[in-house]
Amino acid sequence: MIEPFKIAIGDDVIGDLRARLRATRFAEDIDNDGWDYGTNGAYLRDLVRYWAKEYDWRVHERAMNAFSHFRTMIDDVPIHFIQERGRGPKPMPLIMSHGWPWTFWDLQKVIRKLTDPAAFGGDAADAFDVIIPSLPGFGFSTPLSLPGINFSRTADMWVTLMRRLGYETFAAQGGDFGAFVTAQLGHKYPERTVGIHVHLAGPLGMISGNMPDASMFGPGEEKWAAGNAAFLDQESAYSRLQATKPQTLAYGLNDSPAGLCAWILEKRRRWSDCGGDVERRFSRDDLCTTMTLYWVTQSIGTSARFYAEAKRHPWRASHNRKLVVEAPTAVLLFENDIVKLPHQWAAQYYNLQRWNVSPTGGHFVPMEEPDILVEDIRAFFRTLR
Amino acid sequence: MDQDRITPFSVRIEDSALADLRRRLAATRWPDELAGETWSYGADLATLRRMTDYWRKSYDWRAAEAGIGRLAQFKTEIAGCGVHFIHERGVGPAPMPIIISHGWPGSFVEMLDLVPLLADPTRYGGDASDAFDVVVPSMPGYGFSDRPTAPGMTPVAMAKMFAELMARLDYPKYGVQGGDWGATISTWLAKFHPDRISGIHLNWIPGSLQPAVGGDASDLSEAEAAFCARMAAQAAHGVSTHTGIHASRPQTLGYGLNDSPAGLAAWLIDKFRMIADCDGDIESVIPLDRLLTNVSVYWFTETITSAIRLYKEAASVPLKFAAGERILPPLGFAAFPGEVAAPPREWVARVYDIRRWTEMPRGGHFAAMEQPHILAEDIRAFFRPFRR
Repeated sequence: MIEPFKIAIGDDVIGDLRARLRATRFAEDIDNDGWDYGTNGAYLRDLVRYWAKEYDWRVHERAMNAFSHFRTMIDDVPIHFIQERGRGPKPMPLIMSHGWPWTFWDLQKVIRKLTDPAAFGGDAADAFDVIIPSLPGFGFSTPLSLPGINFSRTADMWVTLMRRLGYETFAAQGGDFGAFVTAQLGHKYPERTVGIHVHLAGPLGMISGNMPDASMFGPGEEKWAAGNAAFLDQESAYSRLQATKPQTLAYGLNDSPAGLCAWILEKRRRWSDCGGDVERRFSRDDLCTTMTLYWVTQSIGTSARFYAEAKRHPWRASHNRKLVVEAPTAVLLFENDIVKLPHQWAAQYYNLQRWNVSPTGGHFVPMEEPDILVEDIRAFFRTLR
Repeated sequence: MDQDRITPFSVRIEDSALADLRRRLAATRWPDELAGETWSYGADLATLRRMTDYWRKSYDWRAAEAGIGRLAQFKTEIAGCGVHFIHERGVGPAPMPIIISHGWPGSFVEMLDLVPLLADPTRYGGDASDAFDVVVPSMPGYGFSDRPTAPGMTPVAMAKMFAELMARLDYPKYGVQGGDWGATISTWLAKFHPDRISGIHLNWIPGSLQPAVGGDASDLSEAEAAFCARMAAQAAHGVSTHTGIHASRPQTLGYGLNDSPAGLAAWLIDKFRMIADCDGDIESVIPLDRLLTNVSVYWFTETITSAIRLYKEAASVPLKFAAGERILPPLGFAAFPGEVAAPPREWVARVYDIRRWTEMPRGGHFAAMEQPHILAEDIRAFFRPFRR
């Protein structure tokens, strides 16, 4: 059963959030202007003050509710999703998967452009029916009390969801963990997947340890190998923690909104193409909306657990055919994303039909570079209609 | 003139801080937990709820404070940082001075039971000739020592400060003891001042210890090669998940832990349970009251962030030894069976002058809390030949 869903957070929840923010016992920070030790204290204090005193959740809740939301149970897991019908002669169904620390709302800027291209100077023939679920354990796809829900299981659930919506075949798109969900669709369900579009490329077993050989990085890609290594060395401790002890982390972050904010804010700044000024890519309201979504849905623990499930239940191949991902694939990489794999590897792994690299943009593509993303999605799937 | 002044210190937390802690604990917003899972994804919800419930309703901080107060404590400023320390004079004919350094996730609280055993052995069935003058400093950024006001508070800096502390206490020659970070600091102390250190007793060999080894692997014994492979695998797979965050982005984690007492308790107690010799039942080796006293010290002093920053600071001063470079003072090592990643003896011998190596019958990473009596006995036995 699919039920319409409206986001309506109680005044008591918002009041409690504000009270906690005002009562924050801030950890002292010293000499950390470059955020080298982690989230900068002065910036955090200022953002928390804004969140507590000026930020108006209701404005953003209304903006979310301008879209059509639903909830349904799949394999005993509650799944929330947006479904927006395309405006055009023959909209193509497109399921878009987000990542961590994202929410469904990180796709906000691309939805209308994909459903109604004509309204934005595009061609109605490029219209999509857009389906944006919250990953299990994220946002309103909560609570998640079943173990073992990793990105592969999520891909299975997406097939069920799309069938339930009447889509036997569909297009799929994603970044971060959503790129793994999407690639798994293209791997296990090539007959259902018209094509996949990802802006993070990586082997499906990457989280359980498989990475392509360094020799595969070609001309112009050498610095990517160094960048990947630097990311693993400097920035990946959060991932190892979330892959092993998400629950230990959850106690503090589910109880302290400032702590939650610090945890996510560091990633938003470090992983986006913002030159150290996070507000070049996310407005204060954008940041506070993300934090509020994680806070009110109490999903930081279950979302962090997505890493643990990926590690505990390593990806298993559904077939051993030459191409791991047989669905036609477009890869759109961003120079300032956190991990970038080489073209030569991608060409051997996916049924690679399209490969583009954007000089601008980082990890949070749909928020950072929505127009580049929309254009690339339209152009790729145009060839598959 | 007051530069070197040593001032008596007693721990006294305001009533308002106690009330605020209870209020925050009562308002804890618990995360949910997977059906049927206990500790496998991290700190167990039911256990943590029970512990924090006890912390709020039954735990008696004032009693803990009174217990701490039975040990003589002082503060003195060294290199601009106020250093808190226990200083208990030995009861015996010629007490030997010893400085004991603690680690993370502990604090000076780790040593509360050990100090009387070492200072006054006759009271516990020992020999007065084994008495020590015991000094237990809180590391800068920990407990009632000041939080550093600038980056760079490394184990090397701390070792220098502790040497100054002992000089200020008029101890020209003394023993050093420690586990965890305390083992690192003790090692640096022995390296900088071999003339002052009569012996070094450790219950942990620093995991970062890098002795000089020959150019090829044939220089390593079989056990050493296996140990190195295990350490490399751990580094590659990030087994030390807590410390990875500490060493890279400690501040990011610190905000939540300094704002949520339940979050702080989860972070610390999960680690205690992981590396104590307790078969998953931490309270079987360390009483809950004592665990909560340690957590309370972190909470009241707001030192979790300054404490975990040490892991990042320490990266600039690896315990790396060149060929022929050695720690000269004699080493006694108490090898506790529940300890994580104990290196083979020949690995340790590359750097230290091993005079005593005891395979302990039981105990883990928190030897002074878990097994204070047998640790005290090993410390006494090791230093006996080095007393004048």
